[in-house]
Amino acid sequence: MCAALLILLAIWLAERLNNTPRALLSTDVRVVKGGAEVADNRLQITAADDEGVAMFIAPLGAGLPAKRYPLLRWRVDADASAQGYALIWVTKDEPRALQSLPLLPQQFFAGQVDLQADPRWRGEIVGVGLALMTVGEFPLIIDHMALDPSTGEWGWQDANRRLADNLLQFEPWLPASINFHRGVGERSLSSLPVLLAAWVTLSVLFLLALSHIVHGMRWQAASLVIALFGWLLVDLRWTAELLQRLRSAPAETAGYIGSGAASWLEQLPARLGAAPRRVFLIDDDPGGARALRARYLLSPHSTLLGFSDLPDDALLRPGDSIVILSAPVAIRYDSSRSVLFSASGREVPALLVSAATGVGFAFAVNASQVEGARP
Amino acid sequence: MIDVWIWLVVLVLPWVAGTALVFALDARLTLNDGAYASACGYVLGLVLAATLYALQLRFLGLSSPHGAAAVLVGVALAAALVIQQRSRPAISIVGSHPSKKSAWWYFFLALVVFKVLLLAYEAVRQPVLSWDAWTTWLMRSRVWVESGVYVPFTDTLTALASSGYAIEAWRYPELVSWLAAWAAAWSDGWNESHAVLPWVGLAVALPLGLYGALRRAELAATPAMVAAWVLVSLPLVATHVAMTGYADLWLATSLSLGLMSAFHWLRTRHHADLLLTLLLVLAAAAMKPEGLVWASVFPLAYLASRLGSKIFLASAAAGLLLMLVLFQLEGLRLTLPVLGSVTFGWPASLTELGWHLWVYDNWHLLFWGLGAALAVALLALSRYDISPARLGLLAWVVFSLGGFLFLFLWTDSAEWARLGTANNRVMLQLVPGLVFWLAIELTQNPLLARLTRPT
Repeated sequence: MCAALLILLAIWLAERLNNTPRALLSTDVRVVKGGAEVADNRLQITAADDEGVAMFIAPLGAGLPAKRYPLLRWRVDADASAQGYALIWVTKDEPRALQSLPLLPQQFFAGQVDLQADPRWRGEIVGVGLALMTVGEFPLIIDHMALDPSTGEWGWQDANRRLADNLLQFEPWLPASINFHRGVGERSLSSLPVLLAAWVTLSVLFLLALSHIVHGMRWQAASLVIALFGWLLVDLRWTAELLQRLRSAPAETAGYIGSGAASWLEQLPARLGAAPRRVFLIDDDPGGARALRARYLLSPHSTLLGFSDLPDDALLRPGDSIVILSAPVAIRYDSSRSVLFSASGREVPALLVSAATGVGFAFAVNASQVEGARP
Repeated sequence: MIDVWIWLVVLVLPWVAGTALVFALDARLTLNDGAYASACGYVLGLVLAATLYALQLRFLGLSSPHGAAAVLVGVALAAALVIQQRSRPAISIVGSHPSKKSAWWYFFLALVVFKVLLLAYEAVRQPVLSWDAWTTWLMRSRVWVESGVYVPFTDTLTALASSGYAIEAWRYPELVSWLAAWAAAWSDGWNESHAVLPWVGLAVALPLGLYGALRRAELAATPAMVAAWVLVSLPLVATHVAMTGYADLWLATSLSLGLMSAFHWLRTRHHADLLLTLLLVLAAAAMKPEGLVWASVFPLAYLASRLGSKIFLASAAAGLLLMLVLFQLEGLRLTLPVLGSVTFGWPASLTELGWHLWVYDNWHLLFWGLGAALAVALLALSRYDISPARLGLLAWVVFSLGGFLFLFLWTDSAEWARLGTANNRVMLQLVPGLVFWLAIELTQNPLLARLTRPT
């Protein structure tokens, strides 16, 4: 009972101390429509989709309580323009429903909305963003986007909920790295290690004080048991969370390229030839995770990355292969002539070795013709 | 699925050879030192196996690992011969620190065994998913094993010109890749479950080494076992075993066992401990560039142990003062060798580092305990005499943490701290050593001993 009260007190204190705005524009921001880059709490919208819509959403991990964070603010260039603006968000209760609040231009440029009165701003908010229709000029820069906490009180019920979340909720891997375990919630000072540290410290102080009243009391042993029990508790929770994460790891870590692509790429080395050869890998993200994972799966061939179009003739040699996962430019193949065409129309004689629908194509550069084409 | 003989030849053979080598090097070791000796033996044995395999593939063009295995058998037999020919029996069941095991000891042993088995199973069951593993370390191993020849890795431009192979981290040392290559070379083709076996063995060797080293340092069996459990319970340690393939766990194990050997050398001045320290720290330095940085802390810590506690305290205070001055030098930029560009001033990553160490669940309660223990240790240092060994250990902790802070506050690595992608795994390299120091400090600090004396 005492322990529970101490923990709740610690949560309450931590949350009071942690009454700070939550910056939203981290590298976890998801660009839903169009194109954008994010750095240092600054989002640079660089393109809209075919329908002229640019949309992004900032994930909030396990969620922020809507009641506690009712004020959303951001900053936008004064010369930015679009024909329509909307605030969007997702709640934990309805993760598949995108809530939307149209904004007037003056609201958008003022960069502040109070959502306290909106009945859909409730429960835990797991993502917040903006949607812009028919943007006038790119890039359009949005920065300092944050949710501000209300100045209202944070009660014992909130503390209870926080404790339950800390113990019973499991988090997935963070997209950025497996070397970072944030714990439940988004940057909350009332995390499990902080609560446990507070509990152990307060318990030891309590036992130390008690030992002056009750003579012969073994407060040291009791303190040790409390600390180790707390550690054991947090470790059992972590072990359960780790097991859950490991079950979903193949689909959640950076190397995930889909089972179809992985299966095709794993079989491809044998089709390209028994002896190791050079493979030029073409992808619209030439240094990204998919290309890197493909390089690993194409071993023992020497896969060369960094290409988003066919390599120059000067780089190609007889025996080389070309694997196209996805090309940002129009690469064409004429099967009747066995010729690949680059975006500029340059021809590379090549034989189709393998193709997988929706995954990619593999070609063997036609040795005799490449040799013949060279002076 | 892993064949038993693969486990035997990949893990047990180098383990036995390495352990025999450690016993042969140090005539004072008894069976009670088995935990510590076998942990050191595991690291040295696997490093030896990987090096032998690298030499035979690179210089003799032999892709079958049988030659390296034969040399390992020879090393094991030679070491056994040395042990047997000693005038007194080295392996005796009468040890230097026999003690009866409590129920708590068995309880924490069960926790350690449960965690290690769980993590080892996951490591073997999972495909290799960790980023560095398939972009760098196992990428190289896979090419060597599948092609059956040694090929160097370079940057893309060089590879284009030379028909070579390219990876981004081509400058990183090859040793960790050879560890995986040694393990995978026993299969037909590339087998990831086999390639990660060296990491599975680490899950055993790391807590075993910590327990054994603490027992050698006169700790009772139960606190030593609690320390081993604390180590395997840490989320980053568990992650690096289960999501296997990072080099940091290897570096952490080699470096921390080197630290433990150095501590024993400072206590006993026995040459064998010094030799073991040198071998383990050299192995750590050969694994990753950070290993070289952490290796450079050892001579400094030794110097501190020789100069005494007053000079150490003064230098620690000077270091703290220097740090405060560096906070004020807003915008001053320097280019330093190894570290690259350094920008002083109030670091944006300071708060983030604090969150990673104390608030997020990367380390459970470790840094809460470590912070308190450091304060008590420095306080006790000003009031009590301390042995050179404990002073050297404390200096290693202070200098290493100082180096870590410098790296993530002012160098380009500060950005990684902000993103949270590298600071924890670099800290992982130090953590087993920090747990070793914490266990010794909590049980041997005179201030704490006074405080915990029964009232």
